[in-house]
Amino acid sequence: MNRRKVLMLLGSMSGLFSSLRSVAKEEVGRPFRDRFQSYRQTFRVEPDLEEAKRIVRNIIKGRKLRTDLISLKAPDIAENGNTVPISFSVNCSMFNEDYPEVVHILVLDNPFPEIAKFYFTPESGQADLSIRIRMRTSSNIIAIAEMADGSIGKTESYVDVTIGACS
Amino acid sequence: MADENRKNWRRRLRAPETAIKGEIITIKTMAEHIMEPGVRRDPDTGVIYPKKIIDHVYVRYNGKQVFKSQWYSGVSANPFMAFKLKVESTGLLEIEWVDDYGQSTFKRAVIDVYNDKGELIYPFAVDKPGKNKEVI
Repeated sequence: MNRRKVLMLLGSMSGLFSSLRSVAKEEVGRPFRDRFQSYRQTFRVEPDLEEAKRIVRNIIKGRKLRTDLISLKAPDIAENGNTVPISFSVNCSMFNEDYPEVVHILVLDNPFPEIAKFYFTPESGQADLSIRIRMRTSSNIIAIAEMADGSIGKTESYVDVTIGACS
Repeated sequence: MADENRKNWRRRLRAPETAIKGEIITIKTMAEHIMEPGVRRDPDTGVIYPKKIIDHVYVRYNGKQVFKSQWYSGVSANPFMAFKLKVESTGLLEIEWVDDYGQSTFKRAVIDVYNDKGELIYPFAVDKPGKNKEVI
């Protein structure tokens, strides 16, 4: 009788432990959300070309595009999509109203197509900048320069990416 | 964890110490930061790493903002940025990186600007001793 009781106790104990462990396993598998994620983050992981094009349209707003205003330098082949070095320069004299107010950098095939905006002033002397970006697949990099006098210029350059980034 | 946080706070700034008046100088900056885009998942557990990026960079020269940039999740980790600045007088260059969480980090440098004769140009008016006798 005594031995049987002890055995039953042991069995129940082991059962309890195993059930606890299974609960812990389930807890780990759940996606984690922090307190501020609801408004800081949208879960748009897949690239949305329609929305990307809408963003570009909102920047241009039907204005006539100037040619040879902005020149973009990017590698033809990027081995790693996590760091693609690019540089651009805007062809202008940085005097009154002849300077770029904003320069947009966009990659339409990324899930978040906007990459950076740069706000220049006449004090910067030369609108010339280089930065490293992320690219998911091989696609066009678009650079749009909005000048202070209202004119606008746009260039594109195609980059072949062998290993894409997850952005 | 502490070490990771310290890594995210390291900033670098490279600017010339001296320049000639009206010269366009190149400034190179780098912030050591993970720039987590908020889309990546842990391969084993499926947990989404929360988004953490630097989203604003401000550049001030003698207290005046001369350049600003806004970044999104498409900027690479450990973001490097090189840009130009036209200097007219000696001054304090200050760069501020603002985090997604509102935390800002600073890096500062002083640039001495000389004219053609080799005299230092101050950012304020200076009376030369001997020339103006009313100054004590």
